[in-house]
Amino acid sequence: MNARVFDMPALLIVATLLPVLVAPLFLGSYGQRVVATAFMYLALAQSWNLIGGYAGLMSLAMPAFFGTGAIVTAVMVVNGVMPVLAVFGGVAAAIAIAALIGSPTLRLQGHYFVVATLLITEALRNLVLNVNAFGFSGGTALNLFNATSLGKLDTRQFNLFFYFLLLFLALAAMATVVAFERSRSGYALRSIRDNERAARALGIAAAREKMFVFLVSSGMTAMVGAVWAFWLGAVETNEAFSFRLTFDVIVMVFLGGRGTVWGPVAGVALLVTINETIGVEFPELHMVIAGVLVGLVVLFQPDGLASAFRHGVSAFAPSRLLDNLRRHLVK
Amino acid sequence: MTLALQILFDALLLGSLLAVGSLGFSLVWGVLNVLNLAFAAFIMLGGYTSFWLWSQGCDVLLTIPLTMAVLFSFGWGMQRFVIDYVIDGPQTLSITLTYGINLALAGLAFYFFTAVDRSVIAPEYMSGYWQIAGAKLPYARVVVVCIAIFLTGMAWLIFDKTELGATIRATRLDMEAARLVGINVRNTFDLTTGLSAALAGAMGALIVLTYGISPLTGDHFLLQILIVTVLGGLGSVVGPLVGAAIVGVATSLTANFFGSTYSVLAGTVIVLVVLVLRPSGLFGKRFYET
Repeated sequence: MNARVFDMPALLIVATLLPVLVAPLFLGSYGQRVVATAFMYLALAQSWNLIGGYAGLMSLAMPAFFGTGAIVTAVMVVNGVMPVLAVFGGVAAAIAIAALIGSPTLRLQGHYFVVATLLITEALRNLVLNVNAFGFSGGTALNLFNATSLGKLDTRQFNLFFYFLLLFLALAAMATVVAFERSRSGYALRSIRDNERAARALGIAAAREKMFVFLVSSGMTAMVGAVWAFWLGAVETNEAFSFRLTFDVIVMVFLGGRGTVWGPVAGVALLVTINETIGVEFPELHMVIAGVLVGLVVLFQPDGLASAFRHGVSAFAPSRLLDNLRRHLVK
Repeated sequence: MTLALQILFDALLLGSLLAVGSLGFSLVWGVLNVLNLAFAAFIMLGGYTSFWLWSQGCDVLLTIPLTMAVLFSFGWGMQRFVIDYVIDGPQTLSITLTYGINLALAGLAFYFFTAVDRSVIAPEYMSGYWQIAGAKLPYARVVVVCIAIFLTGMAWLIFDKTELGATIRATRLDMEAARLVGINVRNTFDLTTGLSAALAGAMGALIVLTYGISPLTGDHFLLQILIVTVLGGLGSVVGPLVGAAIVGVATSLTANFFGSTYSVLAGTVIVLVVLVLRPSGLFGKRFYET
């Protein structure tokens, strides 16, 4: 499995991290921002990977937690709370919401779960849009750029700061997933994903395990949301609760391989590369290419790029791809 | 009195559109157990097809059956050559696939039609309105409501009285048993998605007549269709109607008294409550759950 990551020679780990650490010296400010965005996507992808990949639950509640983290943090900062405390406040708020909605939602089966998470996100978004308290009015953007000392940094320092902060978040998210995969919880969750009834027959408390990973995932997402708020300098409700980010992340996890440690990494790398190359050359066709890519992956290699790690490049041989195509064909 | 009637008329329009859409959407969900996110794209394509036909000189009402025919073939083809390949797999595959299809089609719409809102101008015989106790009821809206009722009636007829309908219902109730009696499940699935797309096309054509269409219109309505479908429940023709009525009235009421941002919230809260208390919906029938 992916237990290899810590068995990899230390040299290989350093070889991967080193370029990432020194890259800012060679990249211009645009390049730094692109890579920093990739780190943000990776952190989000790994948090979603916990619930969508390992637990197998297609949760569309990510914008709800991301937005909660962003907005609560922003409101607290604007009201004079220290930035670090504000971030914890945002994360706590998101976890509280997850705890509240988790119990009734997680026991819904199949598509009802997906729809419920979608509706909760929409409900939360509409609720926040109508809020008018603590100096925050739902419909307008909230500017927190000048409320912290970040406003005093020059462009280069600002970019570097967030480059490394987001890198740290991405690494923390990776570490969480790795630790999780090998833990009892990780195995329990995978068995629940494959066959919930059998798992429960073995004595696994399915509801509790799902709730646990739901809370962890929501907290991680909220933390990324809070950092994003500081990075952007201004938060706007519709932007914070937008589904576009979530769907991008879900596509990345699928592309790379859900339920694996390195899958999201591959997915993020691939999609960011595509965005920066094809997306820049042919901006009008950007959506079309993304959609077609998703379709091709789902049809021909649902395990994503990570299957190449497991089976080698032959996982993408035409005969294998056709096999995959026919595997789920209705008879 | 005027306000109440106006609210009722607004609700009537939205409700009838949602009823048609929800009927189509719940068809694929109920029979194939697929959450067809590409339904948004079907609605949008239906709107653009109708718009294009009208711009070529076709009469507005005539565009509706033509659009339905075009979308039927499109949906049938989409099912046969794409979606059929993920039916037997985990549900996350089909949701992701339909999301990808939706994204690609919306992207194509942006490319060919741009983001400009398009709408169709109602012809002479449909312009003008009735005045009832101070509330305005445009003729065009009455026509839309009548068409929606007609389509729902046709759907009920097909499902209840014809052999095709029986085939579809049988496949929905028990796929294995249907195979045992000789039903070709794959063909049934293809037809069902075709019918679903035809209804989406009709909804799109009606939308372009009343609200106007843009590449993202489908996504906007899909959310409300989801609400209506969950509220009304899968497996019956009555369900979507009742769900649409409730959502239409709730949306219209809150929009008038509390502002339009609260109106979506009202619908969302109602359906969340229903989801928790009675997941199968108000009129839903339980068949294969997972």
